[in-house]
Amino acid sequence: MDVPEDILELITSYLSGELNEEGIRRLVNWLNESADNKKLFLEYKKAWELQASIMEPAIKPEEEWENFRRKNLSAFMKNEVKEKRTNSRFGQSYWRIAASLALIFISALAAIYLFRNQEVEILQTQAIKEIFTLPDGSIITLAPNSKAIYDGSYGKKERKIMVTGWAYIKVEKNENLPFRALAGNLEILVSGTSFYIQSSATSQDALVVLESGKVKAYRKGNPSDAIELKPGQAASYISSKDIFTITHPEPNYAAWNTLRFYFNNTSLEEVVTLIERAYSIKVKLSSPDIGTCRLTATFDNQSPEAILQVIASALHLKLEGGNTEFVLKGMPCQSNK
Amino acid sequence: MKKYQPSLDRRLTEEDFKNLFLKEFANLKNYAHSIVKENETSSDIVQEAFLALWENREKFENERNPKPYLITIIRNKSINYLRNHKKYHPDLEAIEDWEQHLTVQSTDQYTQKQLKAKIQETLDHLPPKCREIFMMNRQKGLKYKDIASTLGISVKTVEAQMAKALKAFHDNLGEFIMLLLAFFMKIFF
Repeated sequence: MDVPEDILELITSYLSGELNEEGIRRLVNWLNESADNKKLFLEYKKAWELQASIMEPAIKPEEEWENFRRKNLSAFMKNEVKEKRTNSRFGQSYWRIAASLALIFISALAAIYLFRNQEVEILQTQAIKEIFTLPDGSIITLAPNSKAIYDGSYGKKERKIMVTGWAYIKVEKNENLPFRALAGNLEILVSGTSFYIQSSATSQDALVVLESGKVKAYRKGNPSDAIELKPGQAASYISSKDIFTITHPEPNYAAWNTLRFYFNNTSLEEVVTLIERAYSIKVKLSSPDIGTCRLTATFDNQSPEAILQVIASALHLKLEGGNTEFVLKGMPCQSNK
Repeated sequence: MKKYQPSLDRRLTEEDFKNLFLKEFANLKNYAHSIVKENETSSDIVQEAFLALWENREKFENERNPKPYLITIIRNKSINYLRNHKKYHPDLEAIEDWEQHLTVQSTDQYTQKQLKAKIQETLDHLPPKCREIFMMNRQKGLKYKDIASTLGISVKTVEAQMAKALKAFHDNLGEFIMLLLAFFMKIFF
């Protein structure tokens, strides 16, 4: 038995939390018409829950706990101090502070310019991503081989942070303390929101992808030509052309953080690059020709080995190696699907 | 329902509290989510319930299990949220049976694997536009109106495409749905 289209839309909107009062009334009227309608509704609800169990981001109690504690600092003040010192879970390199500016390459100049005479805090990652809490409670997740710098004035008059590489920032809402992030030649201004930001280590190229809330993005130092982004939109700066534009983000921009990959007729070359970056591993192709094979698949939070196994069997390749170095061997794909 | 067995022959210490939070958060969030149907809201509600528990922790001295207390608070807060947004209807509550979400519905690994494959397959066969919209909503958590403005289409179109996706999942997951509903009926009827 089929559900009329308009009712199906009501059910879908209801299950995704989008149905308003009028819609709910119409849905209930239909449900009360017959027991069959109720049964159909439950079937669709189950279908919704089944897809959600696979599709929706997994619940992460540890992150929720961090949020909880941060929000309710007064209740946990004593604990906070203690745990900061003894936290060993995320702790090994929790606040990695480089001793000397001399260690920093490109960003050193910019940092000196930005943070004159101030002592700076440098957050830096190596092979794995790390989560840091900033003094105001904002949270920054740094991708492998990325860096963020802020100084002692952070959180006093404003909040300013400079990013090289990829970072995901959840800004604690505070209308009185504007939050500015600088990446390459891109500057963005927000009050409370979450976004991904990226800048190249060697050029002024940069990209920001807004996840929720609002941000203004502009060329560094030119707030007058700001573009306001909506969730899901991206703005990028391309230094070779000195262009600053709104774009649609690539589907996998957040993969390094979420470990979710969406490949839709994506070339193996690109697939491999994304996986290498997300897991800090090396994947060699036995010949460059294989790189043109195309793959459609999604992966969610799986080990790199598991992902590569699936890819290998889908493309009739052989996977060798392990740990952090893999090789995909085989014949080039005949036709690009 | 899995029972929380606290070894509380004393006060609810910070450590007990943290352990309880880490252990129960996911289940309780599923419960709140089944009522309010919004991801962030359900997290907020569960966090508020835990804060209430923390502030009233002296009531939980000597073995009183805090979980029913959390569930009650979450239920009340969630229903209040629906009421405030004019989204509450007692008939829906009766039909949906939110409490079932407090139990972990486990399926064996084989079924789980098949289910995953089936969902992937369904996703792959959705028309590209429909899939894009569905992913923006389900994976990125964007609201219909944000999807509409990002893609420059109407909210009505988003609704229609979402419904189309749900229909595809419903039609392709028939066997799993029947399995789960039958299981559910056995317990409750």
